[in-house]
Amino acid sequence: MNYDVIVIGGGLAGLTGAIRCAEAGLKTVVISAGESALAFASGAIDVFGIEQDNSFVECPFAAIRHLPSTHPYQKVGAASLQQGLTFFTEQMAAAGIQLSNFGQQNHGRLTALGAIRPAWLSQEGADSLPLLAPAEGIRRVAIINIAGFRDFQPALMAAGMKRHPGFSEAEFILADIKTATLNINTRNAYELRSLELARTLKRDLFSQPNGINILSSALQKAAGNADLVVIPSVLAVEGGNELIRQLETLTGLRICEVATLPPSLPGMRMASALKQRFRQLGGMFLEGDQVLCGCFAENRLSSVKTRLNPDMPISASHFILATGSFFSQGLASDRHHLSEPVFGLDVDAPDSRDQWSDHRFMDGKPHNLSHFGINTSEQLNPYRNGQKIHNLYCAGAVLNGFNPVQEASSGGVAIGTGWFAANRIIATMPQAEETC
Amino acid sequence: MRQIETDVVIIGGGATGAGVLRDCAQRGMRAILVEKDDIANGTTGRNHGLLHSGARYAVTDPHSAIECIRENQILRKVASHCIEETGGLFITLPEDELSFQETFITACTSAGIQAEALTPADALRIEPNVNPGLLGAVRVPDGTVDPFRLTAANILDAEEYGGRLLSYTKVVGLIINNGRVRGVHCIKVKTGEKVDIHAQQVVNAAGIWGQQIIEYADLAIRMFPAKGSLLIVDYRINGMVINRCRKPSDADILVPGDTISLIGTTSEKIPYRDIENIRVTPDEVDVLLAEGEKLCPIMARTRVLRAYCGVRPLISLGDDPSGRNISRGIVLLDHGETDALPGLITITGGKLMTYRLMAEMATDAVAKNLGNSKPCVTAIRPLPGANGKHSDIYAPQVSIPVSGSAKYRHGERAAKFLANDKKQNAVICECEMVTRGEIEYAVHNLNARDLVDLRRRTRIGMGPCQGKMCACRAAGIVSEITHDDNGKQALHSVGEFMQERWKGVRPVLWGDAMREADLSYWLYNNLLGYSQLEPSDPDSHSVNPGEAAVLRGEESKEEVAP
Repeated sequence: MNYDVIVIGGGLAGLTGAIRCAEAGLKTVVISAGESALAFASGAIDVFGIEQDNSFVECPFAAIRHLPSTHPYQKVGAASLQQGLTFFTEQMAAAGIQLSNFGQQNHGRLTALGAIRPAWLSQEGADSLPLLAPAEGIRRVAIINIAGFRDFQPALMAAGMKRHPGFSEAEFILADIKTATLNINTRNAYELRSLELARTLKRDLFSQPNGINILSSALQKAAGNADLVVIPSVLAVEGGNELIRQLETLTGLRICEVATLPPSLPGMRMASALKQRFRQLGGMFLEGDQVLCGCFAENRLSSVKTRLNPDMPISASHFILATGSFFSQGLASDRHHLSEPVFGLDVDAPDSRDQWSDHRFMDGKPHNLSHFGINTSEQLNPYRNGQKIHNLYCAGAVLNGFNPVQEASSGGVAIGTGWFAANRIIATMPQAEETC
Repeated sequence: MRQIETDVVIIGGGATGAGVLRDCAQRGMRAILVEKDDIANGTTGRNHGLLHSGARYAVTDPHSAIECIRENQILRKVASHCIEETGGLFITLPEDELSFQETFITACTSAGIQAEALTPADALRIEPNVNPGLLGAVRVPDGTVDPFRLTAANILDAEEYGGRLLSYTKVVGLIINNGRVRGVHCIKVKTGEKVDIHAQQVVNAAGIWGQQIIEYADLAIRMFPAKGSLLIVDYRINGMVINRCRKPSDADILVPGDTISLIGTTSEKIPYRDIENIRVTPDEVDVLLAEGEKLCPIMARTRVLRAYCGVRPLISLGDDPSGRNISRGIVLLDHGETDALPGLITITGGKLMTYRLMAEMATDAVAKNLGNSKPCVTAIRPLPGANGKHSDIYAPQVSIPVSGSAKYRHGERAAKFLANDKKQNAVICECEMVTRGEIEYAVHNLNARDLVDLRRRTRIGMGPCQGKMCACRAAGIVSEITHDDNGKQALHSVGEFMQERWKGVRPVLWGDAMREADLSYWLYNNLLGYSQLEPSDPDSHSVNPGEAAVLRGEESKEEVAP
């Protein structure tokens, strides 16, 4: 089998790059080991939201100019990053998900523990708050759960929101909607996860013609006259944003869905839209397979072998490695070393385990390991035994030099580097249709 | 200031202190136990959880061996739900002397410990993961004991006899009048409230922290802390306790327990000032893994879940700053007899294994001083949960793994929460099968105040995911049923709980533990944004009263530190 481009990894970075390549007419395949980190993500896109001193950033594109030269953003450049985000927004819209940006600056995303995280793009269902004055115009907050849903705790969320000075004086209404009200019929409704709950609601409630009215009147009753109504994201995967919009119309309330502990439905929604878009553009998506190794010659990667077809190498002229961080197994570790497990690419990290992390788990300071990753050239080409691999590009969390969580930059780095890598490839391929 | 009047105050909520509370309460004395943190938070909860047969000491310390086998037989009866009768193997590897086996068996036999030599083939048949290169093995009646459950069961029983536990209550001084100890000055660490407890007898069962109590009385007794480190692997790689058949050494015991196995321990003397800040070093991890792989080679391919360490309280009697006269056995001091300071008794040394005997000895001394002649019944009366009648608990909606875990942990007391109620039966911690009902039971009946306490009562958060999926769920439930400060404490305890889990993960941060931690960090700090909730600038948010009180508690500790 021969392709123009093989993308290894089906998460945000890999699919952004793959969609760009497919759109340019390149014969592109994505090899994905399984569910990506998007199932654990909020479904919003952050670009750069937090400075090293933990202060919030309003204008990410101005702030990233001051980052060190090793940061992926300095390799990609602000202009290319912005183009990538615009491209991404268009592609998501084509797949049916509207992403909103609020006045060319970061906004606040509410988390299920009541924290505010900076974001650049959000889905419609997640009501976006002004980053520095999130409580503006909100005096009463209703936090409504589906009774017994274990992965959302209204009391904890209210306590978290109250830590913000703007919400400390707000009135909080905490309420449940009983499962009987929603006709949920299941073995034990107290044990459903978000995805099962969404499927159960689809089957038992939304299949009825007046299903949404039952939900909207229950919501109205529980929320009273709140200025903001928060619900866990459990209502639907596909079509979840439209459902929130309909509920807002029916109730006249301002409703915000927040992503819960995994599976996070807004993240899954984004993943499935990306896959759908890629396939629409003629891309080949191989799910559940895994690249085991590659064949290198003269500092170029010529083909890869996969777990399901080890005897049939897949070759291509260009490759994008977007396998994610430790959790996604783009990076691996043993007692003494960190490594890149697929190709054995050069990884930038100290060998002393004691230096990988900090004694405090979460106090706003990043652990060293969060900026470990693959060392790349200015063009995002990795090195193998010190030799640059010219037709392989790295994108997303597998890269070194940034702190996705502390900086709130995971989404922008994934999209920006995926876009950048794809454009580098397109520039070298005569058959690619320049559309940009 | 609050004043409380009682007969006996016990300091220290480890197994020994809990045992003294129970023993005192059963003999009809009014007793209060004060513990600065949660029960079993110190050395009690930081060891192997090994139910020694005594075989390990048979050659080197026959007296300890005899104590162990007697207590072993007692605990099997009175604490059956805290114990697994796994049996133990003492294996001889090619680098060990096979001739030691005979000395070992002879010593066991004369201490009253059943010891049976097995061929390597027989040993491999009953323990398939044991090192196949073994030259021989001896089977002994070792087992395992859950220290958290054991301590909680002692407290529960003591309370049912009228005893009282004051957890998160720190002793900051002794009340001494006319040359006699008459009680303790305490401070509630969560609120800063001061409490004086007046009593006729004060029992110092604070383990390594007992030195501070002794200093309040100006007595010259030195404790020599010895750190021991252990590793937990994420499933049971062995069915029986595995020892090396040689003189006791570092890192040579592999113990199965609940859903995991653990290897330990190292031993290192540390300065007293370091006892609050101990951690497992990378070198210790390397030693433990190397030794563990010799016992069970599969360990090289098994995920290490956590590392932890504890401090053994070794005591030196008399004015001996060098520590040459260190005793490793049980030490009972009635300071009225040894130091002309009546009213204070210290019980220390010993092992988890001999906690009941230590409690009996201390309570005998208390009873003598108070003229109480009731006999000790702790060797014959079962602890709550150990009366063996849990087979008839009816819980039709609960799956067998869930009800089995509940009965395994709480014996017949599982009937208190295995209800015919879907909400109560919902599984909250899926790794360890902890239901909402079990959480509510632990909060209402077992003095669990927050998530970290809850873990010691129920195993919540102790499985492969290390609490990331259940911490918020459990915090929400605790907040709901305790009507805490509108979720404020519960939210705070989520962070404390994840930090406590991290402490054990960090020393073994590689491979799957790294993957798991990467996900936890992402979920809590990105998806949930927890670190945005913790004020980085202390002036920008008001400190809550709980935190302020803890701070004050720390300060008062500084004043009394040696």
